[in-house]
Amino acid sequence: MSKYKIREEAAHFVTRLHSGEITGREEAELNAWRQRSEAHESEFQAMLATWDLTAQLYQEPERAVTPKKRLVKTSTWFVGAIAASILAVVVVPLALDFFNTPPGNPKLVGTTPESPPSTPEVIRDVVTFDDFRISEHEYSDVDRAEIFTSAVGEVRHIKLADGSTISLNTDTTLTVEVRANQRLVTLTKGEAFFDVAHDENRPFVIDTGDQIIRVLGTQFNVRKRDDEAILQVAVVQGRVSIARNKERTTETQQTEPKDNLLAAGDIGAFGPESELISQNDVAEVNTTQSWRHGVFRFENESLEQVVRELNRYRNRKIHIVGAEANALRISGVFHLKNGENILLALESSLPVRIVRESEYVFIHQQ
Amino acid sequence: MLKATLHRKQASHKLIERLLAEHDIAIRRFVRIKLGTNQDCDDVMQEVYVRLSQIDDLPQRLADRLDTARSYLIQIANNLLIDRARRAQVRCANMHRGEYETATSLHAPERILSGKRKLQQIDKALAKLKPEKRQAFLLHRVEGLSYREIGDQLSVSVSTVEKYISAALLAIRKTVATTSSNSQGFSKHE
Repeated sequence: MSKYKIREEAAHFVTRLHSGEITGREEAELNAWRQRSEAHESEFQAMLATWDLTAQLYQEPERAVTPKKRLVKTSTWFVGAIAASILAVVVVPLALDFFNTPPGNPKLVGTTPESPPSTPEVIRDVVTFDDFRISEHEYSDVDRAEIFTSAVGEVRHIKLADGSTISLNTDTTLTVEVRANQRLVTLTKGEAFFDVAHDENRPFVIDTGDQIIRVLGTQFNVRKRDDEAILQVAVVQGRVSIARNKERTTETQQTEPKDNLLAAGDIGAFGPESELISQNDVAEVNTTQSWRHGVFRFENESLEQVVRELNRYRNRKIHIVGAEANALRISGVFHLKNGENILLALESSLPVRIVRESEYVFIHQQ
Repeated sequence: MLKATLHRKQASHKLIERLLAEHDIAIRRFVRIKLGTNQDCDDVMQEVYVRLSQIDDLPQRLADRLDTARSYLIQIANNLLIDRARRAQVRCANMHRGEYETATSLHAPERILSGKRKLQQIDKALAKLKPEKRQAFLLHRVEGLSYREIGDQLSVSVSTVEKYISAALLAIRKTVATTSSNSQGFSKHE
């Protein structure tokens, strides 16, 4: 084996090692590789030393050769948050709850793409590009229920007076009511991320219709999907408990509804009849809430799945023509605000042709 | 005031416990591979714990960086390992002072000079790279971003980020190798 080849492989191993994501299998491969010859082992050591040498770049940051590009914080509201929990819920449409649950005198704060927000709650519109927008609001009225909605393609951050924040993903409706003894959110449709400030005396309760979610202080994401009757909950930090809504429990269910506890890294899926909990899938949990920053990650997903996800954020929906194209696989990172770029990326990386018409975008297999 | 500090410390303490529980296997694997032995793993884990508890604004640092916690812990563990190696080198040099020429390379002024020279070499090697490779490498090594965060920023996949960083490392390694005759830190590995 050439010296260059060995060096190249050593660079790969050292890069993987410092990602922190190296697997047990890779460790075994690496150990076998190092034992192949003296040259392998010494090159690995030299490469480790080279990596550590560049640690000095830390100590003398002014020596960095390129202008540094700072990672732009999407929202300063999340400073102070430690990690996030994700809760995704899929439920059958609950149009009636919308009118039943919000007590008090609900006020519509949401916006449609045609009428930009003009209420005093609007602090600023952070991003306006194509279909996708991020905006920020404040909610401070205690004892008054307020309805928040986000339009298609909009992500809306709401800050509560107690320090909690709620982020609404595209096409979402929820009601917030802060009372002296409880903080209640009713999720009518869509998906939301919650960063809950700890308050022992005022539990934070989320009513999703079929399920009731209780938390003391944590962060989580709730997704109610109308294409499947399933509620998904993914937890990044803390614990949440999910119980069936007793008022909705049918007589055929003999047993007392039991609480499900989800801890950080857990994802639970709750259907009308069944429950499924996958534990310790931290990477998946993290992926489920990247929408808060307008980022989309796909790892070897089918085009059908990707388009279904993208369409949640688009007014001009994408249609795939031809069943074969559905099964095409793609991986990548997309920024939602660059809606057109996503289409261009699909066109350049897959054997497809994009046809734009006034109301729809069509993807044809070539 | 005192109560607030206490509360913050408790919160930080809880966070550290949680982080270490969650990433224990990954950190230990990293340390094991890097040291080539299982022996000092517990010690290093203990040091990581101490180091983390010295960081007052740990929750703030990790705020909103969900994907980064592990990357951050690995960087902390790596810095500890570098410190350990340095301490061991100094101890060894003191024990054998006069016996080995290497001792002279540990004299501070010379070390700083050689460090600066190496940095210049690294600068040169990075300058020749394609901008995206250089950027990925610096975002990780200087800014401390995780590979995933870099991928999001450059709009490429994590595996592409790894290819960029690996290419940058290879370029630096080449420069260092050709000039290593006057750099003690590397000569013993050559």
